[in-house]
Amino acid sequence: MAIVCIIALLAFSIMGIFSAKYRKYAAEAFHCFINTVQLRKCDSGLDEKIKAELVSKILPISAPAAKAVNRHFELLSSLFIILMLASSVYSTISLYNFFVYGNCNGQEGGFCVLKDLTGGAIVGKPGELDPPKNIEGQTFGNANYKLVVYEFGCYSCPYTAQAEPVVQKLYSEYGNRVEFIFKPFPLPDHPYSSEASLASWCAYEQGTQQYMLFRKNLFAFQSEWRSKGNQSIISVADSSGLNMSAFSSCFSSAKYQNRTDQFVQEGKEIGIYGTPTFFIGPKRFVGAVTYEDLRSAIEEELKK
Amino acid sequence: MLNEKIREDFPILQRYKDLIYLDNACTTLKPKPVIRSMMAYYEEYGGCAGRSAHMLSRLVAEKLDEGRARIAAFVGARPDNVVYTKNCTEAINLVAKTFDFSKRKKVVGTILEHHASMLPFEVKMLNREIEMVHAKPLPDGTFDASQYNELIDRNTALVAVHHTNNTLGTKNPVSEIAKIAHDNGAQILVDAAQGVPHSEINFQKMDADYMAFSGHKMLGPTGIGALVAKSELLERMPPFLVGGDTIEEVKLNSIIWAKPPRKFEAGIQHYDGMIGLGEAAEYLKRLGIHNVEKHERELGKIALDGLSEVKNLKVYGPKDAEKRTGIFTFNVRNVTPHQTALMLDKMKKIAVRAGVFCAQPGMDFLGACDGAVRASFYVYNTKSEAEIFVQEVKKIVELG
Repeated sequence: MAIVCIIALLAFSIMGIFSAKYRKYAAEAFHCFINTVQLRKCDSGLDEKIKAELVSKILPISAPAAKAVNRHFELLSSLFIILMLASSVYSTISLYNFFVYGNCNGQEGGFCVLKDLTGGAIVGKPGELDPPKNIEGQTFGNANYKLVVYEFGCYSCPYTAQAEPVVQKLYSEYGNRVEFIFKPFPLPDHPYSSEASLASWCAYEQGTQQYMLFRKNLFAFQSEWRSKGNQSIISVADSSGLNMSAFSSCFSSAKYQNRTDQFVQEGKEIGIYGTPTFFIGPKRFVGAVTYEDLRSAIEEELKK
Repeated sequence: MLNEKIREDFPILQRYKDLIYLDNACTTLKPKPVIRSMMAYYEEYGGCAGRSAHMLSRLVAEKLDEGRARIAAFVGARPDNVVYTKNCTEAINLVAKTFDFSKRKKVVGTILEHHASMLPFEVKMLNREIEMVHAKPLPDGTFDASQYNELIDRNTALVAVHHTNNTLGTKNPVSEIAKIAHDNGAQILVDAAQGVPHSEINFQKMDADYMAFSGHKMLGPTGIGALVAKSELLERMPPFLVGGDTIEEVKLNSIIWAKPPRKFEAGIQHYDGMIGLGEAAEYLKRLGIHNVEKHERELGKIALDGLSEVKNLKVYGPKDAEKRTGIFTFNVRNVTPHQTALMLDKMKKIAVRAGVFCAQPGMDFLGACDGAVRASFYVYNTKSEAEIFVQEVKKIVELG
């Protein structure tokens, strides 16, 4: 009974933050918990209410499962509280690491759900990321660089698109001092990711200005061409003022397929597991980055 | 079976179309004629009855007389035998508090009494004002005259028993008990809270001395009930509560009490409740109380036939549907009564009661110390509702 009270108290207290109706249950659970601690009978019937609610939901789906829950309700409650306590401990450690080291895993680094929200588009196992192997890629900014910001990104990835305004802002602020190298890394889970990558190379060969406009539009209309495909990508190219004859010829020939494959290979070799992944000096940023994150890393490197 | 069209008379059933209300032994739903009659008091003639000479006062007095006459006719009594109380409990307390126990001190009750008809006497017993003995039922939960023959004797002052049991739906042989009581010079008080709403009762033929019942269990309003008592007893009884309207004359050193029932109805009364209760009696009269009883018994039989032989299910009371009304009490193995009631509510919006039904000693005696589940049928319940109830209980039994 105490176990049920504790679970109910925690659950309803959290739910009570969002809805008043759960505050009444939380108060009931608290009263029940206090009674239990004082070795008095908990007479609110809260455990029966929860059990009845649960078993009523399961019964139409599976009578044996409902029977099992009904019979072993106390045991299941105990298991849940053990799991909950364990997960609370791990969550606390992760939060501590996140605030102290900027990563849930502490100094070791690796995948962290608080930062690495890549929509499940993980290619390899989270782990150490080696630096990029070369300076090849779609470059913009000051080629006489003091600093290079590398980005492994997928044109079809919503998180890469989400990071694009940050990249554009940094480019406008640091474009004269920093070189940006974008390494297209099409993820297999995202629709038309390879096609978009090929198209980007076709735009890139027409010059930085044309490429930048195409790139901007490609991210802006991402949801549209993700559903409509190649024809929609061509429309983006057209509206970006590209030489369509050259673009169409390039795109249909898939002449940059090998180059695309090379970047994918490079990404895999250095351990890219999600997009976008940024490299700024010794620092790595994966997933939903913020302007502040990247800016402070750039500033730090520029001061060196 | 009664015509299902009467469901249209009950606003709550129209509001909650899928509600299966089987908590009628606790309280019943109210039909539109009852609700309208109560609204009419406030909207059309809401004055004090009889105290003033104006039109509204006269109108209220007429309506109250009409209501009292309806109630009296419904239970086979004269209007001046009917004393309004706030409920059945108060009616029983009225008798317990005013009864003369100076010569005889023994009260005979049953172990299955509702707290309302047990506690007023148990309190007196604990204060050593009276002695109390309790009849125990036969194994099937019913009583016959033999148990009372053994307990009622020349020392007995009062027999206080139920007409219909609120847990099992079984009926007491009240006429036979009344004869035994009277043969021994004792009086009898019948708790008819579960009797008047469901069975034909003729107070005079039953030959009880006192009979108590509530309005809300018979389609009437809450806060109103009645004590029906023989005229000569009401004459002798002192008033229970005193105040406005209970006197013929009052001086600083003397009081002449009014004639009953007035001397028992102190202060401004629950007028709309009285009027509503009269309307409820009229509604039941229109349906025919025999038809009501038959209807409930048929529904109770569906529950009994469907569930009495189910494994892991304990049904309390006789297996013979003829021996009971529309009350069906049970327990499911490994599922508490409250859980069962909550699940019926969640699964099919079936409203039943769980607990000891204000009859804890009785439930202990029946072996249901932690309570039981009670489904109770009434006029607006249908055959299909009874079948759904059976089907859902069977599902819960699978958990056992």
